[in-house]
Amino acid sequence: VHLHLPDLPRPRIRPPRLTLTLCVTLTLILLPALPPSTPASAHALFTDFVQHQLKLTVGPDHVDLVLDLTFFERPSETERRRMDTNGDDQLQRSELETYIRSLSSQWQDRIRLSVGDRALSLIPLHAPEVDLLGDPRVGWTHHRLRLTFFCPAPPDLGPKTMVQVEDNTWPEWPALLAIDGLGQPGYRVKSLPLDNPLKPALEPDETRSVSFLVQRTPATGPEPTTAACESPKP
Amino acid sequence: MNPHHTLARRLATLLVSATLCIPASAFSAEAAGLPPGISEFTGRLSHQYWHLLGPDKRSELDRLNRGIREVERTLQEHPDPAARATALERAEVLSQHLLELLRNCPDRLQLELTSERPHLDRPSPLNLPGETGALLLEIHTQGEGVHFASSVTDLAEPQGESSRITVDVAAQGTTCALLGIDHLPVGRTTLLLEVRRPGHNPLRLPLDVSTPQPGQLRLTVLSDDTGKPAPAMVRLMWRTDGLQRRPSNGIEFAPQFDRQGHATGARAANLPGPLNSHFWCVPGPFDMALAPGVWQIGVRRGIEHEALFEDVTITSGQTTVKTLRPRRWVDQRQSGWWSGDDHVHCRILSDDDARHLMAWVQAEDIHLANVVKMGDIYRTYFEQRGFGPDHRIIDGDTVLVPGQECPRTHDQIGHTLAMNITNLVRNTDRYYLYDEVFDAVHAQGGLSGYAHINSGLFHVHRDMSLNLPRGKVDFGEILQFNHLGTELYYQFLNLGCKLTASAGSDVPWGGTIGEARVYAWLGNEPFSADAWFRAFQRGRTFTTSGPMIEFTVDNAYPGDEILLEQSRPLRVRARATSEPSHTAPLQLEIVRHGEIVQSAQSANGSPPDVSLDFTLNSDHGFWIAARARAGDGTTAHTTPVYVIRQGLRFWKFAEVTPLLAHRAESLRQIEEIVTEAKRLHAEGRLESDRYRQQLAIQGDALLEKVQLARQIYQDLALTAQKETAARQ
Repeated sequence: VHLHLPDLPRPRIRPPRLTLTLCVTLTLILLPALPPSTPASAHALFTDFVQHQLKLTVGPDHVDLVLDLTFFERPSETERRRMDTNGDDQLQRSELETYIRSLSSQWQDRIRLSVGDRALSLIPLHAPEVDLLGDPRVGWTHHRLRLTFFCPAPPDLGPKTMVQVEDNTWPEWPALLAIDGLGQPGYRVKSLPLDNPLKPALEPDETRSVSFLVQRTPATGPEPTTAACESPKP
Repeated sequence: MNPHHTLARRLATLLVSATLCIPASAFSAEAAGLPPGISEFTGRLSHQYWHLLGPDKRSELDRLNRGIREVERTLQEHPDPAARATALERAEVLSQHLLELLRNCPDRLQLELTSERPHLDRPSPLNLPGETGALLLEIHTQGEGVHFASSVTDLAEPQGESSRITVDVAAQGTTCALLGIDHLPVGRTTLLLEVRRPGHNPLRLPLDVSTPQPGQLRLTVLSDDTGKPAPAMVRLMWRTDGLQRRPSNGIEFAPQFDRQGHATGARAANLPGPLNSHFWCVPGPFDMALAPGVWQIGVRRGIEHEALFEDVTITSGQTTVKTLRPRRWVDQRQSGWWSGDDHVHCRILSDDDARHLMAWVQAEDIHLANVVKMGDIYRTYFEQRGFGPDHRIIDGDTVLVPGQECPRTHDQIGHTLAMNITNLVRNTDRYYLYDEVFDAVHAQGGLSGYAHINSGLFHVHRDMSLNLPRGKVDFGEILQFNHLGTELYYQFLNLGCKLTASAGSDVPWGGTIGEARVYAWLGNEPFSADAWFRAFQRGRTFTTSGPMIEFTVDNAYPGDEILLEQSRPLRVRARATSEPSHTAPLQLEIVRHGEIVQSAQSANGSPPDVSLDFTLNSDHGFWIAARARAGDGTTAHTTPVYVIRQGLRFWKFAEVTPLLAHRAESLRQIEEIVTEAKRLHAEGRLESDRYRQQLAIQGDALLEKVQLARQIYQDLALTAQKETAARQ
């Protein structure tokens, strides 16, 4: 029911000693009869993915990072079950509020940003936002979660600076990554192409990284006029 | 007593005491000096409820929120006393600043709990902006300290009749509370404000609020081609709360998605920038009530049009009439290219189903949608009324054509697609013999292909290794979810296997129809489904999520062969263009055997139009294609032109050995999964796993195909030996 996140609070349920013994015995008896785990990729289906859309915006004062997570069917059901604290299979606003608060402890070590070789401390800009996409039930559907961070722009953020973002959130699900680099006026940021946007669930000590290149800052001069961008209509 | 004065004094006391008394090791920002709850309070205020302070204070609130959160982080992370002292000084300034802003909020409520009889100083009713809003309360109790609290109540949620909202107040001191409210009725509402305070019984106070009469929006989206109303993807976002609303005629596709994937009508394209936010498909003009205020209207009509975002002001009791016409920046039809999406899942069992999907396809300016019934070894999804020309749905130059995505195996040999079929081809007793499906599809006059080869999902390389060298497959998806993936594609092209480049959205897992699309070149031939399929079958395609490409080698188009008796120069011409405002610079590359031979980039920012025109010697033959990448990460790729020297394959001769090794490995993996399945089946352990049970049962037949493929690769190794002399 619950995510396999080591630092998330989980309900501590102590089964009665007799029940525990029975469970262990039954498991030992039945284990050989159970089908072995699926070979190769237990999380191969699209239904198992969490889509991670990272948008990095660079400006004179701050670097902003928005992480839009779309939970596909299985992870959505798992997360919805976590949200559903009263177990009625219907999600209410108060449950979402509680869920959002429960998330706050888990992203801090899982999202990292570095400029050049220097790690910067990402700060949540406001509380996460959950969008149940009009379906408040616990079940097989999708939902979205938006996490928003910022950090003060380092003074040496100039052209050709590489910005790297490590996104290890929800490591137990495979990820479908998409990245978008934006600049405030005077800045231009390019997202570097991903080898493959599909990433398997992370093993311990594995990470998921994406990179951005700052191509232009106000120090490098003004952008060419947009009038020249006009493409003639055929 | 001046409460403003008192509040500031209490805050100063708190900060000073924190500076003096809290040990540096206590890395809790609240313990160390920031008033409890202040960052969450400021985050909500700046992000969702900035309207309480007015638009002119929004950027100030944003700076304040960032500042408070920076201080909080510093206090949490830095044991250094000097850094902490500086942070605390800044905390005081920021907190004072916040209180100053709150103090000037015209709609602030003050609740005095210092005396026996509570006193709420605000005359009723309090005006809120619309169906969402917030209350800002300053609640005074005995004692020192400042606390911040924030919460949201949804009035639509309580069972039965209820208008209760609650606020948790600190035991002592002043609590600044931000109480968000969703689903407020129009007009006057009496809220029951429940004040909860440690050590006291809950206090309930009636509080009248009022929301204004809505205004009316009448929106029409025009086609840039005809000037007449047309289906479109529309986004309505109230600037006040930043949330999108469903247009009154926005189509809810959930019932047509079999509860699969992103089962809602709110579609966020897998495209960069604001296109990734939620839009609804509207089939035509609509008229709906909206809360007064500024609304952002977003309109998209596919990637040949510029997306349009415009703010309109809705006034209470008035109708705002808006007509928007997204500009077509390119008309691919004029140059003979017609768009398609090879991978759309959507049930069509009724005329209403068909009308809904047709509206979506037209809203995204797609001309041919391959609407695929999906199958696995257990069952099928996304039911269709039938297959073949009689079941095509045609509206002008838009056609919905039923097809299939079946067979699909996830942990075995990949997913397949078929287009232009006359019957569903499905036999689960021979499910792993994909070649039989490909042959049956071809016998019906259809086209066979692989899904998801851009990402290599579902071990599709295994069946590609079986059936591509046998010439059983027409196309493969190399672009999906805005990811152009060419590793597998190039491996097979480099072995001299032709494959047409295709693309599709895979909705409802994908974002929206046509976000990844394939264009087929019909030239001067009028558009029809049959003409499109003929062009596609010839490989005259390119795929794109944004840029448009033209590409010829001499006079050959993508998919064409140039047969040569001897080497000679070839003229290569390519041009890429992209949507003017967002996608520069644009990179155009010509790839031969997967390696870039020429590239060019549009000048910085403008114009997003880049061309190449050069000659290249045909040498011993090759495949050659054009690809483009725009500054926003959208991409395009053509099917190759195949330059073939007589007696030689167009393969990447120098790398034949490692390429064959890749394929040998794929075949080995098939043998391995069959052997494993047979072993488990023999042990009776696959009763509940029909995939592997059938793999065991059908395994011998599949292994025969492996042997066929292995023989082909052995023949190719011999061919390579024979070609060695001819190539010297």
